Amino acid sequence: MLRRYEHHIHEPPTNPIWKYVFSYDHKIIGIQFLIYALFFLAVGGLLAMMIRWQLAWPASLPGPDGTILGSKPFPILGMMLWPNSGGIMPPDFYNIAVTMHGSIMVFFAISPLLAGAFGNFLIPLQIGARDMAFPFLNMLSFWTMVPAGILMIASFFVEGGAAQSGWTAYAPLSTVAAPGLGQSLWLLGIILAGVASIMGGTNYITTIILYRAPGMTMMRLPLTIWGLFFTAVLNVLYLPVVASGFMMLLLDRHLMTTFFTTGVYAAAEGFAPGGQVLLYQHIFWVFGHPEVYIVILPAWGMVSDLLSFFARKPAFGYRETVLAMGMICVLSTVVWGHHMFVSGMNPYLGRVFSMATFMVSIPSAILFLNWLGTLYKGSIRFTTPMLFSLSVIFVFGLGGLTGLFNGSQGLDLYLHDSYFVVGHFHFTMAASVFLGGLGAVYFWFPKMFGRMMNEPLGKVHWLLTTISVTIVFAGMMYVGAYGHMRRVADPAVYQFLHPMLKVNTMVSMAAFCAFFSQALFAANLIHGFFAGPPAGDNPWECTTLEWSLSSPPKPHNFDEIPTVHHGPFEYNNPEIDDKDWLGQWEPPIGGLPEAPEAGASDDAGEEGEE
Amino acid sequence: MNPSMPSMALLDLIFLGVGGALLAMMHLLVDHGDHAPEPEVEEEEAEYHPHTALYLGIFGALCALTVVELLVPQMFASFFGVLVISLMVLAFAKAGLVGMFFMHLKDEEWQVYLTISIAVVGILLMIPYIVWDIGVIYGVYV
Amino acid sequence: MGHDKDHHEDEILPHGTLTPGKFCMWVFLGSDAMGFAAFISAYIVLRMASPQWIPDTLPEPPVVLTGINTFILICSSVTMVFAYQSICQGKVRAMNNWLLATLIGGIVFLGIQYVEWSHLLHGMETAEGQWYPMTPDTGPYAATFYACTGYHGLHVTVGVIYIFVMWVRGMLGHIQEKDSSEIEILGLYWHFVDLVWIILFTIIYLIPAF
Repeated sequence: MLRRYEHHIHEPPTNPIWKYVFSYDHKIIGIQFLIYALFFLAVGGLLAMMIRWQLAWPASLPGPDGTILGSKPFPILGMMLWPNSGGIMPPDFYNIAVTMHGSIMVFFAISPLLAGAFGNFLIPLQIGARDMAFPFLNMLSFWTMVPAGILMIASFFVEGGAAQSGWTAYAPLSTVAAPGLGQSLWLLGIILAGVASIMGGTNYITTIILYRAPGMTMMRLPLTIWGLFFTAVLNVLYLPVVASGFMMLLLDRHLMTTFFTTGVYAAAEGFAPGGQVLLYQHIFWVFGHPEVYIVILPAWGMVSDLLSFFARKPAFGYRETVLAMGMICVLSTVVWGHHMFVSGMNPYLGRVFSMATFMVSIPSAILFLNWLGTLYKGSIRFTTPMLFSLSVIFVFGLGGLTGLFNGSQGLDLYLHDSYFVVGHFHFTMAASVFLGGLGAVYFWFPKMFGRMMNEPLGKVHWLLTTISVTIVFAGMMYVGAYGHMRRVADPAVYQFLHPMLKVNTMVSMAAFCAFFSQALFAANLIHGFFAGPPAGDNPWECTTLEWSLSSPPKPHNFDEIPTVHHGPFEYNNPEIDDKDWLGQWEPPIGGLPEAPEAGASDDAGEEGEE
Repeated sequence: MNPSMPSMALLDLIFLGVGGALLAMMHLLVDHGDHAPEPEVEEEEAEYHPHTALYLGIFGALCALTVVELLVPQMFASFFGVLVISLMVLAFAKAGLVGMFFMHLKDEEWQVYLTISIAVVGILLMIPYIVWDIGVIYGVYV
Repeated sequence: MGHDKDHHEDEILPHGTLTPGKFCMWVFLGSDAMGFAAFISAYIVLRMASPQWIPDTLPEPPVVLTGINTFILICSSVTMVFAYQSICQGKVRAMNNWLLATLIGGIVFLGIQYVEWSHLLHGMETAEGQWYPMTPDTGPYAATFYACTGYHGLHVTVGVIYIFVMWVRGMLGHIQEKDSSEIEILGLYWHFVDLVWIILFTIIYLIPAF
């Protein structure tokens, strides 16, 4: 039988270096990750704006009467970076922008936001622990992300610029065609980020299994924790694969090994022909597919919880949602080939992957339908976090449905590397995760900082962001279905794309709107931090354990670890008299059981719901 | 060689089946913790029984298996498939002995066993898929 | 159940209890196994797709020397498990001696590995009497060989440092019977390194050598 563990209450450090910089407190580390993630979201967003600028006014943009209008210089930064061309982006930089936008967003913005910031902040609080299992390891995990981020930023400033081979860094492009330091720094940066995530992931798994409060069985955990738990499992299993793949890339680049490239000796007699390009693609996508689930699982968990909390109704199909998340984890390990349908991979193998891809859509659909079931006949409170959760349902539905088209081998022959794919993964990975993450910030900001954010401003931010983000990615899917390729700096070179150029411009306008709407969010954050109205312990009237504590909680969280008797979804239970919710820390409705220890199945491995 | 989908699916199932069978056999050795809880320990703890003979026995078994491994290539030089399979079986037997007895996996809770099994299954899925794509591009060479 | 244990508390847990440190180490080992799996799958795939894996001018992997090395690593695994057994019985000095033996085994392993690599890199006599340095760029055979053994060697190096730190702490008296789980966690890592080597040795050294 697993025993549970808890930490002693320690005196918090007084020295600000140990209290705020190299903090061991999971709440401070969570806030550090939040700031880190918001910074890299801004950098990634700026790069996205540069991409969209170039697509709105490409170099071969036709004007009236057959003239070429050409690109416009990028505002402010353009003249600083490229004075020779009058501020116009060179095509090399477009490749850099595309690559770095993708890598920074995936590895340095959304993972640190959801798994880093909220994982760290919420896991001990929601399971009833005083801190993570290994606070020192937790601190190390953040401070390993910092040099990783520095390496990525530094790669912009080396000779040759940053990496240009896409966030996927396919083999000959990233080995033979990318001399110079930029690609190598990129590889090192992501390997370091992976190490940090593995450190964090092992910590999360250990904490969730061994540090839960008495009575907190696995099936009484909030869905947020389940999402974070599965994220940690996938992280821990598959990041080493891509780290090894990137190490092989580094060896190919610097020691001239022949993992993925043909060696100079290939022509000579008696030597093996050399490496295989597809080997890199397989190794990368073995990680790459679970990675997209790593990115979205926390958002799924949080949205499932938030929908229940603000519909004042238990989460519909809690057990099925947990099982669906687990099935997705398992199935996501055998679908990676759907990124490689047109790579020259064995098409019979492709058929296997295609079937598995259709299978993995089923648990996602279960998740989606459970969300709708949670809403059905609920008493919905339209707070900002709820509005964002509702948006997530919408964008994830769009994104998920379009994934089915990409999963078919035949259709993918046409759709691969078009903007249809870009629209699909942005709807699922970017829009859903970003909107979910924003909702999470609005929801947990009071607990983190003790103050409320401004609700009306939040709602305006929500409306602008949702509408502009939907237009952007729906527009991408439209041009993609038409045949617009991705990662092309100058689509206007192709005659057949000329009808789509206006759509590109419209999408770019919507993207600029989305980018600048975030100023409202930034203003809300800053104003809320300094001058927001004080939040009480439980401004949202929610049932998870963190809302029983002060805002922000004391350094050691719980004076006394509560005993948990039910799940976090006791909303509108008719037997509750005075209010419409019952906190997880409160005694059960019928009073405490008579013999608290005898027969109480609060074991780690057993299921038990009140 | 151009493997057809049914044969690939069949091989996949066989591989997973073999892997699952191995895990199931190891599973039988794992202690599920069904005993009565340990008595409250405050000053004296449960007595530790040394397992010197067991460890030396496992060491002997590892040495013996290594010797067999060194002899196998000479015996099966002309049957490459048999050679590979027998060497892999021996290697995994040795690894299993180290894992079960030196790492005390057989005495661990089922949660630990599940953690390792998940990683093992991940590996068992990853390698055959990649092999069936690019391992057989030029045919299986010796 | 019902025991709320703080793993810093003085209360001594029975030997072999699943502490957070032990569980975390198992999770980490599962993760690390995946990293090795990536290198091994690269090896398997590249080898299967090559008409001739070992070029005529390059030597086969040295089985005898590495076989001895494997034996030394297995011995160090046995000394490690005896170190754990000693500390479970409270015999701190015996534990220190067994840890020292393990440390020496690890260092000898690294030493022999270094000798083997330097012979290969400088060139070795092959059966035909040719002398050709097996640098990493000579083909997938060399690339996967150095990658797999190098990744493993990195792990052994980390393990040696880890054992050294624990041995020093043991000599200073910081490890007592109640801290047996720390030695157990070290043992888990070291046994994992041994286990991976057993598999690597078979795949890389034994299979081609026939």
